Amino acid sequence: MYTYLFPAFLKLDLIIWGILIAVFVLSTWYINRLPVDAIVKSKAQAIENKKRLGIKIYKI
Amino acid sequence: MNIPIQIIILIVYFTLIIFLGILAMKKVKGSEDLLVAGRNLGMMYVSVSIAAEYMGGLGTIGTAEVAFNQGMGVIWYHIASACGLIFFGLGFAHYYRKYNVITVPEYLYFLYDIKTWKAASVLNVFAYWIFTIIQMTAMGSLVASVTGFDLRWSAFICGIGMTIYLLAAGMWSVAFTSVAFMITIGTGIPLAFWWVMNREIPLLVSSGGFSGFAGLANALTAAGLNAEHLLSPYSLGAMAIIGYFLGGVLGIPAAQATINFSFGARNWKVARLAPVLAAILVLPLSIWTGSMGLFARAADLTANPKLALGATLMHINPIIGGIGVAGIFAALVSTVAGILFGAASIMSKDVWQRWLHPGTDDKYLAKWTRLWILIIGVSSAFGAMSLPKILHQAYFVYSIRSALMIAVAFGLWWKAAHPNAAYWSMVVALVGGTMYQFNIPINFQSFFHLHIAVWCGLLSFITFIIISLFSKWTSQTASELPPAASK
Repeated sequence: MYTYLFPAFLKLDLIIWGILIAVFVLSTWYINRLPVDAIVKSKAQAIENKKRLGIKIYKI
Repeated sequence: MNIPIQIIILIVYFTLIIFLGILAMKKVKGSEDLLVAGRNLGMMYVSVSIAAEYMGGLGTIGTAEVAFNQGMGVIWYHIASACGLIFFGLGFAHYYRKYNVITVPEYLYFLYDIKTWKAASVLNVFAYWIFTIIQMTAMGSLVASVTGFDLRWSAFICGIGMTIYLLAAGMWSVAFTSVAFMITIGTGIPLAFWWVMNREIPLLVSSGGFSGFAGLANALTAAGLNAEHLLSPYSLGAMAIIGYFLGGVLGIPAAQATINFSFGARNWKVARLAPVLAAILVLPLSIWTGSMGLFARAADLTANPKLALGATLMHINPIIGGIGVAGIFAALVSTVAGILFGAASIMSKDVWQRWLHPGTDDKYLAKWTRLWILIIGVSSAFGAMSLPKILHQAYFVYSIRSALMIAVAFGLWWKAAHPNAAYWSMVVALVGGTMYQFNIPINFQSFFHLHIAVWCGLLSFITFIIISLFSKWTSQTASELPPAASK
């Protein structure tokens, strides 16, 4: 007969919740430090491939 | 006639949701407004909408079903989903947002070629079709537990009802109400959980008069069950956990309905961070729904796992239970509408207008979209009568969709990623996954013992690498443009 129980799944979930909050705080700090035009500099590999090979790129 | 308070709340709430939908319609001025809300959504709206999408039928009724059968190991469903959302936010969201795409298959065209786009569209329609069947089953099980109707017929009637509703009202009336039902679920489910833990469990004779998890464990033991196992986070076994992770991490970055909101973010920073915040919002959900599923078992409220959450919500305080039922029902309506509309619009816009009949005008296209809503809706309603296991079949959908994400990831990060590899990895995942899930022609699962997500992930991953390594790059590979986009 249990009189008090703090189950293992709840402990695990709370630990993971703490980690997620830390990830959110850190990534917010990191992303907000980036300049507004940082996205222009991030290059997708496939697009670079296509440019290198002279393949037509679909402009949206 | 004595109508339960829960049903009255459900009807009032649903009328309110329709009214909100009509108000929201007035804000819509063009297709960009409809599909990505004019790309002007702020942080809270994007993250709450993504979380609300996750809190629909699968995250609530599906997790309660698994907890009822197998215990609290189901928390890994939301842990894996949270990891998938973070992976999407930090790894992919800014690329999608940068190129202003509206669908994932469209982005695959950007990365590869037209045949990859076609394969991705077919894969998406197939996945949506099965998803519609699952969501209709979830809806039917909620209605069955509230009204006491037969489960099979509830699923069928809900399916037909949803099809008629969508044909009459259109997508717009349900597309903008996610915040309303997020608030309802976000308050109804935690309140119901609190009520069950503090008020209902001590009332069970077998709980020994204790509240909380101690009382639940006592009641489960008294019912002849292994409480320690059911309350363990590892009650599902390692393969299920790996499957959840692969399904979440590989599924979410290409899950159109979920990440669609990120496409509508105000800027790329919001698009990246909102899924991470959504991960924090969805994580506790399976604690609440899973515990209520276990309560249904301990209190012997139903013999059918699909009815576990509904039975619990009908058992507790009618106002709190009613808010929970209404929120889940609204979430299901919105999800079914979204996926049914999504599948029908891919069939009409991509398959019909762009590939088969480029000259089709908009009026004819609208008729064609409605026809496909009817075909997919009615066939899914019949499919829902087969009562598939909700979470089990959902993972089949996530698994075949993981091929999309593998294609996106390789396309973004691997120099040698080849269009042929993207195409064939999707074909192999679709065919191989279907054979594995439905035992065609033999029972592969008894031989390989792999979770469907592991199976599909491996198939498409290996296919992609092998074909990429053995394919040559030529300038013709990705040059063809679809008629509507070849400006």
